[in-house]
Amino acid sequence: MTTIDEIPAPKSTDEIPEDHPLHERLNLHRFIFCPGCLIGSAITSITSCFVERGLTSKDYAVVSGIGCTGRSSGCFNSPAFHTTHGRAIPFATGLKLANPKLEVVVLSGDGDLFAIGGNHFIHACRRNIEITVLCINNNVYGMTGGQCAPTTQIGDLTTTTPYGNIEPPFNLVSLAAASGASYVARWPGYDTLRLRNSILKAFDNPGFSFIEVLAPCFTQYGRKNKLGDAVQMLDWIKNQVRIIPNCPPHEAEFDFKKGRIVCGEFVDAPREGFSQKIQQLRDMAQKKK
Amino acid sequence: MLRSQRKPILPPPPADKEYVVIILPEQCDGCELCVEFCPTDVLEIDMEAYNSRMLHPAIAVKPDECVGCQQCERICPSVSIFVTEIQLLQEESS
Amino acid sequence: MSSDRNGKLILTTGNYASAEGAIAVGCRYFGGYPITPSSEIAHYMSRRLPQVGGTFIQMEDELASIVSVVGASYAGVKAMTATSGPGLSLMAETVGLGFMLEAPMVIITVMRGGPSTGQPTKASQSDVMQTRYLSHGDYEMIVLAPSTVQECYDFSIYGFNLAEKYRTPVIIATDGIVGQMMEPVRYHSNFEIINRKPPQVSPDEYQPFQVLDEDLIPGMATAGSEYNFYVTGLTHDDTGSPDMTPERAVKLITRLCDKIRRARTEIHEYVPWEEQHLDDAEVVILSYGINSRGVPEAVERAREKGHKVGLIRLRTLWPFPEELMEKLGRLGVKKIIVNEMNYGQIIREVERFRHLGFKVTGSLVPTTIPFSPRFIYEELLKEV
Repeated sequence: MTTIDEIPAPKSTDEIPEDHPLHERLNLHRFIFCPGCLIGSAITSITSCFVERGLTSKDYAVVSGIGCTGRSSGCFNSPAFHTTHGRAIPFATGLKLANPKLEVVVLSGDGDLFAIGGNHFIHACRRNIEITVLCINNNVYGMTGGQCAPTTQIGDLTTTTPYGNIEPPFNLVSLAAASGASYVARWPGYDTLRLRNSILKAFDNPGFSFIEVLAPCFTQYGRKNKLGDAVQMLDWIKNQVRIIPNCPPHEAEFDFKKGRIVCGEFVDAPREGFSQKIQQLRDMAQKKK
Repeated sequence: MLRSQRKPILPPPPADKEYVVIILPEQCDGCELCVEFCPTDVLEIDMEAYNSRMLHPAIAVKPDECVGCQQCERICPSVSIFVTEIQLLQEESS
Repeated sequence: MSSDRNGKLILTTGNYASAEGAIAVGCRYFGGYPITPSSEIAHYMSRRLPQVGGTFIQMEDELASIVSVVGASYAGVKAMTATSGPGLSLMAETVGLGFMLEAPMVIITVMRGGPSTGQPTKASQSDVMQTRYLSHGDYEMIVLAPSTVQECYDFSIYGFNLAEKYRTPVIIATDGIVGQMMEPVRYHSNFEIINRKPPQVSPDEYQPFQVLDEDLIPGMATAGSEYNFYVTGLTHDDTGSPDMTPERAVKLITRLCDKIRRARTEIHEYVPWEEQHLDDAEVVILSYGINSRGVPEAVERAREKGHKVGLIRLRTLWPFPEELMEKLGRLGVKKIIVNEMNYGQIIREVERFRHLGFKVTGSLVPTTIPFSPRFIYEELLKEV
């Protein structure tokens, strides 16, 4: 057994920087995810987008709910809020309306945003409040022990559906589009290049942006459904992903049984955001006074 | 398109930049995603080494093959691998 | 319902006065959800807040409205919401979050008859224990109970000052009658405005829950400043990182509770109780809120007949005024009659002090109309 000191160093040792370029933006002690979970990749993607836009910590804030992805807000070296279960979006709404200069990112899981927080999600879409919501979709409740989520597919085994799930799942893209979100996209978590471009586009969108990121949970979902480890599950999902440009949201299929997950940008229709409208309202009220 | 307007398909120009992939073994979870995603098989999991959390870290076994695509850097869930240009490093150090 | 009255006496309702008081002290965010009998506060805010550059938003439910208030508070804005009993039940979890994150905010609850939907258009005092023991876990709450429209205006100001000073949620418990009755009120501006303690160290050294002062209150950074911070509803250490060790839980919870407990006397000096004829009183009527309005007349009538009767009107319900109880014990009061429009809530708290030598009885009626002076007088005669 070799020790850490015996690992051969990469070439030209003396010139190599000691630290990752993103380390000063991230708090590595708070990465608590299973080895290979794509939540970490999503955090890196968002952070690199902040770097690319030149946003420093006074320009943005990260809000998350409860669950595996809920713990991700702690990974950011910025104002970051770990709120109660399902309430990340209203928290971000308050934050954004009270300080409209902030770029507010909500990073949360499918159970948090669509089960307990489903009502808040559809109303934030309707209001078109200027926040960017990233939903890390792993089709299961990871942190609480692998229970059935509103995105779990029919027939899937979880700890609360030992005979197979009988409830039809939500299609998050269709839901967001129908509720009125002005930017809706879905990307597999491994496709970091497209995901990054999409996040940058969401930052530019003057309204509510929703990006669904597929990040299969091998610890809970993969184990119960016998889909293998992190790499095998990525391969499994990679074989199902179809990236279709300009696909209408009602055709955004997500079906493990058929082996077809349609990814891409589904809605890109920028319209005036809510905090702009509030500003107009203030101007109007002050004139009348 | 007219035959005269067509351009011949040539092999890509030789890479004029050299890249180095840097792994921070203490941070590495040994999840193999970088190994899976590297198009030129630069990386492997070092099954004989351990970091202080008793995990096998990744290692660059064929560092000369790196084409600098940064796939490993982008996919790494534990922010423990990154790619940089050797030339850049040399400029900085000189 | 227009803006400034320059301290002139005007006629308005308690709900409007509550809202105007909040605006006067600097509230610039209101996230609400309509519920009888508190809706007038949202009506007033929706008209006035845009005029003063604030934000009014009607959220999709009470859960969302209170969480957005915590968010706005952490963006550096004084924020509030208004609701009634059923809405307050829904807000319970997030009041705990506000306590854990030490977010200053004000919740006005206009009490109505319960349980469940109860009597939406009527008044009640049956949410007094709810305001105290709302969320799960150990925590301390500051609750003020106005009984006049002028106090609605004043207590909004005091409520925000207490919330900002102690970095804690504050509940103002009015009721359906105080909220909706009209009385003359003076929109004065002779009050001090207390703002939250800013971070005391540079951004590099800042830790969101690091206490540097005797008062156990950490400096508060807000989003959009140079400060980086992570706050969580989990048990956390000074840096905000989740920490599940028992030592840390003890340290955190005791600090959060002691922050309020130690300030109890200070809070009661800031919003003091009202007392009459305590020097010679053998029997004291203790009441609060709308139900205290008939007591002075009953007490005067009893005193005319020669009974040694006094009265106490609580204005800060929680933390409970233990100093007052000790004072009553010292003065040799023989009996305390607790008048409440519920089936016994504050009386339990008074009974805790029976060892000080007084008897405790109560006129406890879960009614929706306040006790008339005649009723109070007749009840009083049974006791003296």
